[in-house]
Amino acid sequence: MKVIQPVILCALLGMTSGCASFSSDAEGIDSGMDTSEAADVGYSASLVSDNSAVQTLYDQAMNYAYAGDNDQAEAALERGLRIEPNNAYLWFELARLSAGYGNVNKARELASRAQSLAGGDRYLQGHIQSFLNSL
Amino acid sequence: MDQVWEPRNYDKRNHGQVPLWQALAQSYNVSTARLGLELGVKPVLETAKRLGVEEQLKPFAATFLGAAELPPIQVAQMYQTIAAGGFRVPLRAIREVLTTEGRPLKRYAIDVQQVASSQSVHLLTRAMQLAVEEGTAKSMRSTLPTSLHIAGKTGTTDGLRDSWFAGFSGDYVAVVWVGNDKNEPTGLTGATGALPIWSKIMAQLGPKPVPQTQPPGVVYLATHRDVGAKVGRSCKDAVELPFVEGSEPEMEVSCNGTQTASSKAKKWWQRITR
Repeated sequence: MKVIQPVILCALLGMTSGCASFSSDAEGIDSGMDTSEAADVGYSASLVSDNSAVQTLYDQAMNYAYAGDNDQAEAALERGLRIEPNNAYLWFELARLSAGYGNVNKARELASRAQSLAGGDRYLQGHIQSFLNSL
Repeated sequence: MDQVWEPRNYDKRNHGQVPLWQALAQSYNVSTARLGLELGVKPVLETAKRLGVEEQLKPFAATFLGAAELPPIQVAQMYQTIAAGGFRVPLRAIREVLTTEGRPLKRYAIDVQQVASSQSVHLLTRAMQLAVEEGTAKSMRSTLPTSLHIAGKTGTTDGLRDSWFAGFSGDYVAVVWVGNDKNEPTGLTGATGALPIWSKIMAQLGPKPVPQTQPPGVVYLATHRDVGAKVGRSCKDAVELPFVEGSEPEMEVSCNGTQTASSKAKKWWQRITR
């Protein structure tokens, strides 16, 4: 529990102050993370992208997802991908949405795509691997 | 009288045994045909299908050299899969249908499927980048900067009837076909016909560079460009090439391409200890 506190705190702060890019040495960010935590971890828009349009679309997507409108959430993320097709965070969010409405095969493929793009971002790689392990 | 299929290189010359990347970069027909025959028609056609070709390709060796009719959009689908590291995303012309008030009626969501390993695609991409850097597409550099690391392939059919260029940047895939609707020769190769058009289109789009990330399981090695063996990085004939881990060349040569003494000794030791 102590290990994931920095992650949850950062996600809560992210909506207002924005979270700086989390250190890749953050404790507990590895594939051994609890699978329900992998599904719940949120990211700040500024961590997801440096591009303001993509940040706006990401925030829109998260708001739609929170309101239960998965279709509009996906649409916003896809618009983000048209600007940044190699953004691993956007692909991962699409994966999480797919898992949320039960499309496990699609979730797996989307998460694999995110994994292929996440490169040396251990923070994100850990979340993606936990997510894949949970499917 | 039975006819024999005897492909020839565009320059009508035989280049002997060449490294795989050179065969692609220089578009050598003979090497391609031999490779295809070694792999087998069925696996090659299955790979084309996995990459996104929907047309039924004829199961003949000539298909390896493009003796098939494909609409540019299917070539674009293949190249999209390669550009996306082996993940096929079906191309869409319509993303969503809206009401007159702008409310979504129907959306066609992104679909993705990994159909090729990221390692294989990385090796292929590097070979296609070499086609642009020093192969049949090198004239591209008069229009697009080399810092974009564009990957692509020229295509020219017999009698100069079809001129193709297909390739991608970090964010765009494009395919250009130039031909005569009466199937008469145009007098253009892939490099002189389709490639200049492709380059100008791409230049106007302001593309991003192809990412230079290396997937896990791939290692880069300096190899002699003609011999294909390991060589010192500072040699003028050295080229950095990716290899799937475990498949790197063991032989080492000196800058002039001859086997080094240590490599010979290692080979001798391996022979007597087997």
